[in-house]
Amino acid sequence: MRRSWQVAEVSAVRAETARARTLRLRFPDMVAGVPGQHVDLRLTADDGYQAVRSYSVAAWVPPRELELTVEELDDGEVSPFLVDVLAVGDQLEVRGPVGGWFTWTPDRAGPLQLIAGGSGVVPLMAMLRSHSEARSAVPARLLYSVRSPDHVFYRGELDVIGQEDPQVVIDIAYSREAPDGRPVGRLTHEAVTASCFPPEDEPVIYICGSTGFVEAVAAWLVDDGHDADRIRTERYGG
Amino acid sequence: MDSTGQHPLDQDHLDGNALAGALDQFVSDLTSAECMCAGCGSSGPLAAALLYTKAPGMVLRCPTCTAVLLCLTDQGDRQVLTLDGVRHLVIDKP
Amino acid sequence: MAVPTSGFTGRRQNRDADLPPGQYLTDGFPVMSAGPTPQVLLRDWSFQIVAGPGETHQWTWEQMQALPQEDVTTDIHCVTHWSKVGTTWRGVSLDTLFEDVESEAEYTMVHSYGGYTTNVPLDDLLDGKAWIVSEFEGEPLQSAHGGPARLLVPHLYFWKSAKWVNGIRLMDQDLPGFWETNGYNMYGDPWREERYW
Repeated sequence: MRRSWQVAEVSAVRAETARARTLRLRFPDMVAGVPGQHVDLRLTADDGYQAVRSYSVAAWVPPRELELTVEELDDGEVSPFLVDVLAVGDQLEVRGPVGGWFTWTPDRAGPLQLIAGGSGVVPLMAMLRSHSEARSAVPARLLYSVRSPDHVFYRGELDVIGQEDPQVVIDIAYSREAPDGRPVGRLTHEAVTASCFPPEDEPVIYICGSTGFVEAVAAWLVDDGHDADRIRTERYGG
Repeated sequence: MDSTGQHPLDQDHLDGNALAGALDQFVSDLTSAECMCAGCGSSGPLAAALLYTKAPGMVLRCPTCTAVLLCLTDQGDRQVLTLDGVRHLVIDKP
Repeated sequence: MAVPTSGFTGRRQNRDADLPPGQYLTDGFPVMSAGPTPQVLLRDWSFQIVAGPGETHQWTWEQMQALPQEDVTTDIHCVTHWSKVGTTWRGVSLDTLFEDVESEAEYTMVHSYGGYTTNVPLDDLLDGKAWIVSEFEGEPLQSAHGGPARLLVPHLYFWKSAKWVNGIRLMDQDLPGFWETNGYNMYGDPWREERYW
């Protein structure tokens, strides 16, 4: 872990949806961390005005790179710049990776249950990628709630993991608009219960999304009999 | 101090400077530390408490009773950390 | 030293010569919140001035609304560097509320639903400098912005204008409130940029 700000360079950008893109950042030295961690970005205007925001790491690309996925917020001050303006070769100040609580590594016991609301999928994707790369024998499920098919991040890669990794089940729930033949509507308690490992499997559960999403889903799971000590949450605000 | 101008316990104490090594471990991830709320006595990792950031400083509140645990404010060239609502922190060694 | 970020300007307009140092204009009204928003029913709402042992003056919502209401147009300055000009408010002047209060005290602690506190010298609350406001831009004050009622002391940084206000206690000495305990200035004059300790 690095405690001071260092300068990273944007080495690649990739659109995820119409309003979200992945930024690959290259560091001057080796950068390492664990799935679920985040970094702080500091942006400085010409006159010295600064803004600091936290973004979850989506992927680790050893030895010197990592990826973030940023979604543009309607009223955002920083995210529109990161999604629409920042270009390959630009520099950003970065602190981290940091955070030791909302993290998962393949040595953690128990089935892995990931539940994402919208862009809350980002840190969970880092966990899923780590699970796949380690060829983990631990069963894993991702329940990913999105507004519409156009809002799904990492579409191609999720399809590949879901089809090729026998330990992983990926379940995408659509709230506003769904592909043909798929149900559409707000995520319900019943749908969450049906998609998740049952309490007797003693899964470790990671929930990330808006505050409302996280509160609702965590309460349902505790209601279903999951031990609150095995549920870890991360709210991205809103 | 007593009338000789000496600290009354000067045979028994060291300088706080000697704490540097022991405190150095705190720079590992502090958010995983177990925190007991001084208000209601409940415990949990700092990472699971309630953080309010749309304010002049960062305010961390107890998830059980919502009392303020700690507050971190940025004064530009220095930071102020107050821990009025924390009874203790239990910190794993790295 | 910070490295400039190519092309980043931030969401703020240019510095305005009429603003206090270090402030930027905003068109919006950022919601600042250091804790849960208290939901206070008007029938349960009250406001009191505690002037000393046995001297408490209290108003219900109806009593407060029955007092003379003033319209106030003013600029506001948040210590987090945003300023908003020409805001309009409606409420009761503290001169009205302090009319019958007898005290030698020079300092006050302002209290709010939810436990927030901030200290303000008594002189800064009197002579047309402060109000208990319940309307913003012609509408009832939203709870996110401090409704049902907040203090308005616009000549000091806006953290002094306590949201969800429910009382003022007079004090013989100046003691720090919440932000004043946590790194911010005891007085908070934006024109002298009194942000921190």
